[in-house]
Amino acid sequence: MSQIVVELRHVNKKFKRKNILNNVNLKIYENHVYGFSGPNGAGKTLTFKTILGFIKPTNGDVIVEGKLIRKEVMFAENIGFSIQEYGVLGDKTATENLSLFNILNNQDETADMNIQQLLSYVGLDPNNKDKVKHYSLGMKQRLSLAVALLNDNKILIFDEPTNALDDSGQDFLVAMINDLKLKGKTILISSHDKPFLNQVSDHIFKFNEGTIVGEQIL
Amino acid sequence: MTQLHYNLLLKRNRVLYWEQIRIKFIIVTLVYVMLLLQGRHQQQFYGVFYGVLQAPNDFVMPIQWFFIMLLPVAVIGDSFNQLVKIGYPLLNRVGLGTYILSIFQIMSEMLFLFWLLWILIPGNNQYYLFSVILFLNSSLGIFIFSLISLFLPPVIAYFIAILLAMGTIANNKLPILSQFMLSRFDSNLMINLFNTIILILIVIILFSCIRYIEFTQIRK
Repeated sequence: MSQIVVELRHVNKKFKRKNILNNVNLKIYENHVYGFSGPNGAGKTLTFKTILGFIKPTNGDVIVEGKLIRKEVMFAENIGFSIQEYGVLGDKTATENLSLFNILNNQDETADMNIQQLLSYVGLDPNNKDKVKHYSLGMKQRLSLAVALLNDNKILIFDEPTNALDDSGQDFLVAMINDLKLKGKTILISSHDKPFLNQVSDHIFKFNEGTIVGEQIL
Repeated sequence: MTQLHYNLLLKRNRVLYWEQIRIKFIIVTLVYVMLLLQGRHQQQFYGVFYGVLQAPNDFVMPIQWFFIMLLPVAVIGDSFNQLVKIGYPLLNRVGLGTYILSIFQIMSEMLFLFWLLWILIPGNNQYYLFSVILFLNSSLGIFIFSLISLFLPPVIAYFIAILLAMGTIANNKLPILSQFMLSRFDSNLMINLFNTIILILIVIILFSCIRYIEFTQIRK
């Protein structure tokens, strides 16, 4: 039986007297792929942000690798996540942006991270000297995946990664997720695309109105 | 964090900050220079501070002072909030306190430019001590505004800033805030120092609340 790496216990989040997360309970086992489905505003992204420590639950516990988030530690460690464009410098190349994140997060200029390899892995040309602001939405999406994969984190969160990807981009994403699973990663993905989630997930959580309304083991 | 990494963080945040404020900065700097030139043309230094000391039954709105005080706040606007809530999460292995201090440094650099214009154009350099204290307190003022903007909608943070400026205009002897006006500047160095310490304490108290920041825009 694999280990639990993320656990949410009776997590609630209130905003303006409204429950936007309502008694969310879930367990994430290592080296599995979890799909999060549901309409906009169902609570998928908010659940991700709660796991990362970017939102403090009103009640309940969020435990990542044995540490209580926002209690023992402020943010979850060892989780890579993709948020399109956030904090990326538009006037720099993809390589420059990834190097900057790598140096600042590791605080070690000798950190051995093969940025070129990583860019190739997500399907971007490592020799492309274009500034990120000139990238298409699909390329920006791939760059955000590369940002998530920096630091070789054990747990990965991809929020709506199929957005802005064409059919070949989606095929690439399916192959990448399968490969990451083979490498022992635990992956959490949200998407509106049910066939895509069915294709990549071991387990799907169905969200609606801030709570889990169903689960599907594949 | 080494000096090298801090400098890199500063460089990155300067780029992101400039992206957010550049248009506002250019417009506000032009307005700022025009107001200062107008003040210089009218009555030299006192033109800028015309009306700051209210005589009984003779209210004069110190319009230039009012704008000069609020223009840096207008430039900062929601940029600090955005730079923290959107710019920080991907760098969450850098300490949040260090990250915020780097933005404070960038904002102080911008304020220094405004302060320099305020010194050079009307020729305020003869009021050396007042000028330095004004810069220090203005820096603390924008830190307070910025930290408040993390927890309240920007429009409310603006409203508080305008309210405090109006209060300062209406009341000749408002503790701490009256120090922002030359004619109300208390020549007692110990009182000035005490007021500055109070502002520093407010910054420290608000800074200690950064652990409650929610990295989302759901409050809007």
